[in-house]
Amino acid sequence: MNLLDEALFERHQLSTRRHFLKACATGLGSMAMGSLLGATDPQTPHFIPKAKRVIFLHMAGAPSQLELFDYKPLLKELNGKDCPPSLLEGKRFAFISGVPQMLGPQANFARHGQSGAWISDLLPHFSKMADDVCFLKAMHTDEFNHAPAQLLFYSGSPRLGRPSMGSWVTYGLGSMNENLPSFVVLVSGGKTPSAGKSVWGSGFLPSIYQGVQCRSKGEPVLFAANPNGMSASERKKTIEAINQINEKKYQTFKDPETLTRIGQYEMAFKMQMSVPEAMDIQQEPDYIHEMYGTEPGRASFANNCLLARRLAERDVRFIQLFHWGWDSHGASSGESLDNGFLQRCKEVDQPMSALLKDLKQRGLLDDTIVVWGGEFGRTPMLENRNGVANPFVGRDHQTDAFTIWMAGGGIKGGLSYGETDEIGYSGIKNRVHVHDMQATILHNLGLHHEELTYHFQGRDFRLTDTAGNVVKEILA
Amino acid sequence: MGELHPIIVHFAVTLLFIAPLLFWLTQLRLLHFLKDLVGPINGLGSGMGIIALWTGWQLATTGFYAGDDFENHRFLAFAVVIIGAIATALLFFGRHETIFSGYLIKLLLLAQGVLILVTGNKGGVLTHGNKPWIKTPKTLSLDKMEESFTIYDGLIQPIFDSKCVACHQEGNKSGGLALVNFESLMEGGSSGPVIEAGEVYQSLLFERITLSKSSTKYMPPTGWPLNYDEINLIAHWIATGAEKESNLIDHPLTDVRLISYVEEVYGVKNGFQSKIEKQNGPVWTEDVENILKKYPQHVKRIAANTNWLSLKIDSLFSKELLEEVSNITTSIAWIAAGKSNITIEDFSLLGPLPNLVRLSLDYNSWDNQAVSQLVDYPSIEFLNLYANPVGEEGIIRLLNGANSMKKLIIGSTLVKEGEKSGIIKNYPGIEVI
Repeated sequence: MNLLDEALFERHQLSTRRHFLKACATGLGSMAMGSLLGATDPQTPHFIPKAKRVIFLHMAGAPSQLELFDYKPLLKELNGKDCPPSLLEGKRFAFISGVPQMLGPQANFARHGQSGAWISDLLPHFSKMADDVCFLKAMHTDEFNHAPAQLLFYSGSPRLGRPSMGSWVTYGLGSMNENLPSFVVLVSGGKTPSAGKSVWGSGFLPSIYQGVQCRSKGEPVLFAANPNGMSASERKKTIEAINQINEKKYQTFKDPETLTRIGQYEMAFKMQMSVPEAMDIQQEPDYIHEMYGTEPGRASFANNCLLARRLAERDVRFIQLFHWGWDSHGASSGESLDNGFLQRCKEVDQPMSALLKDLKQRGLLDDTIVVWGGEFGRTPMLENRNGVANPFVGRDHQTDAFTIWMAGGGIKGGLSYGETDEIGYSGIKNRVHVHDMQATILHNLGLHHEELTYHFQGRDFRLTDTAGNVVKEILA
Repeated sequence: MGELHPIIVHFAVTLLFIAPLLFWLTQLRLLHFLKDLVGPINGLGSGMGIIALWTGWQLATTGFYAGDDFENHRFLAFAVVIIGAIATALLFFGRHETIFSGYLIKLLLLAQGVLILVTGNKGGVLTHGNKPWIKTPKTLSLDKMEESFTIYDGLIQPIFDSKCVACHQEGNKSGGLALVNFESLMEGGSSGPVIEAGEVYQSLLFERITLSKSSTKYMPPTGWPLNYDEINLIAHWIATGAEKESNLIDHPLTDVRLISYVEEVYGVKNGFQSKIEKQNGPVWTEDVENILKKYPQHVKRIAANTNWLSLKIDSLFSKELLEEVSNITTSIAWIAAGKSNITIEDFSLLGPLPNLVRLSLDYNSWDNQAVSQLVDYPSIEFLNLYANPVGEEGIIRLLNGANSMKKLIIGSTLVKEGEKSGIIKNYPGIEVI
């Protein structure tokens, strides 16, 4: 089909009855006010799900697995030795050039829990949760720069334009709470992830499925509250009028995105009530604040973990946390293993452990999948930017081996799955690709990753693109 | 030479059937010019029959064929070959004009034609089973698994039945060993016991099935060897104690390959399965359809491939909803009623809920009295009582009657830490959090 044909085809699609019915994501009935965003969602899992929701804790910048979970005693012995050329041939790095030196683990390791999982002393709280989580120690990805690797991690493709995992999940399963968005994003660490908002974008899926970023400091959602002098009833009338105009617009142009707009006005109106309530962590008792180590009024990871639990309780389907600042190259003190990295570990250790514990005691961990990880791993070599050793201790990006952990929602606890070689450079056993992880998450939500598709530009797209295998070994 | 039996026997059968047919046609003056061929065809057929008899005899020595069908097949084959030989002799040398010879030939050829069909059928039963046109997969129904499924009867004995019992049966104990049931297996053979519980590599049976195939001690000596998964299943059963009653719930398989093998070949799931994963749920009715349409926010189908439903009860629930759902009470498998302020009285409006497996009642006001009434719901596997004013007494009354309970959440209740550890100790099959 040439471009003109495609344009004509698109236009006809916009004006045919069938497409109209199909494009109203929730069916024609949802044209009625107030139910577009979920209430009548017809979406049903393909098979009986183990989990209803996902909490994703993304350590943006990619934390070093060699300082946290992947213990390599041999690397300690090799510390300071030149990297043999066999490890460098044919490899591409973001910054390493020339011959770097090997770098031993910058933390002390011990085995924890009945499962005897290796966890370093940088995560003292988390090491008590060892028997509740499953470590995937031989993860691998295709991309060695942050933005494409994050895109691959969340949208299954390293390029822009694909829907993110949270969008796929809400598209596949629908909403469980008609007063809150199904896909909420919380960001801490002072920066949004390198790939920008595309990692929670809806791509070519209808935009009602995109993630809604909520702020943990100040107003949770900007411009959702009524300005001074505007009463709730007045606001309601305004929105009704706008929606009527939009409906007329829709009658004329038949653009499904107009429906999304109508729905979003409705949702925004409901969110004026529901979001402040959900996001108000002051309602929590003191012992909970102590458990998470929250800092009220700040955009901290601890606050976001507590918010994640509150949103999970309110049946938000996909909760995506980003904590920035793990890119420990050693080029500056803030981005080094001997300073910034230690700080990050402190920031996440207590809250993420508290989140697991809290979900567990409330019976929520049973149907919530919690995933923790970065977009790739870090090299066993000391980074030498432009051939010169960096001023601080750091490691470069590495795609071939890194560790993430998963817990709850049908994932086997107390399991370390996969193995890397003696220096943690490559996975040698039970490797798990990013697409496999995505397939496994969808599987536990009751979705066949090969059947969750969306037709766009002439073909059926899916999250796992043309790859992905469910990692059955880690299923409870 | 036993392998040649099937090829030769089909040749013989064809000829021994064609000869009487041709004879009959020539008697009717049809194809009369072929009448001289009847004798040679029958002769060739009988000759082939003798060779088939001999190759069949060779095949029988492998021990893989036994039983009534086998005996009948052998007897009939003898009869056919003898009748065929006599008929051939008469065709060549008999004087057809005599009434006796004429009738005898007709009778013999008729018997030969009929017997060859019966013999062939018996042979077919031996190799293809009784109804070869119906494919019967080796599957066990999941309901059966729930009640009485054991690793030995469900997974191990079928292997022996298909690959070992030909030589290891009560009437024909090769090496003194019979493998017809658990008792005969544990009795062992002339070399003593063949299974050492828990010790895979000390077990003689395991050794014999994993020797080199060229070894004279390798089992089975002929026929299909045990495949990799069958050997691993036997190893799993021995390693987990080789008990008659052990099952896959107490001793789940860990190897993913084996899990999928058992799932595909036997249709058996590994480890704990929720009731709703074992059954598809009640029939989809118009009532169900109507309620789904009427309460789309509250009642949902759990998955597209099952008829089970989930019910969400929020703080704004109406009695009307509960009463209507009671009409489809058997379809409800999950109920989420957290923060709903529902009472046991309102809850009982939902009817008997015989298939309710998951119930979340977090942040409600259920006390000992209310919680102990949950014993009336026999299928509950997961119960969340987080933040309810229930104490140890109510929990124990519930657990004494709740037979399917697997997981119970009692955080932020009146149950004290010490009481909780007591409960965990006294109810080992239940995860209490």
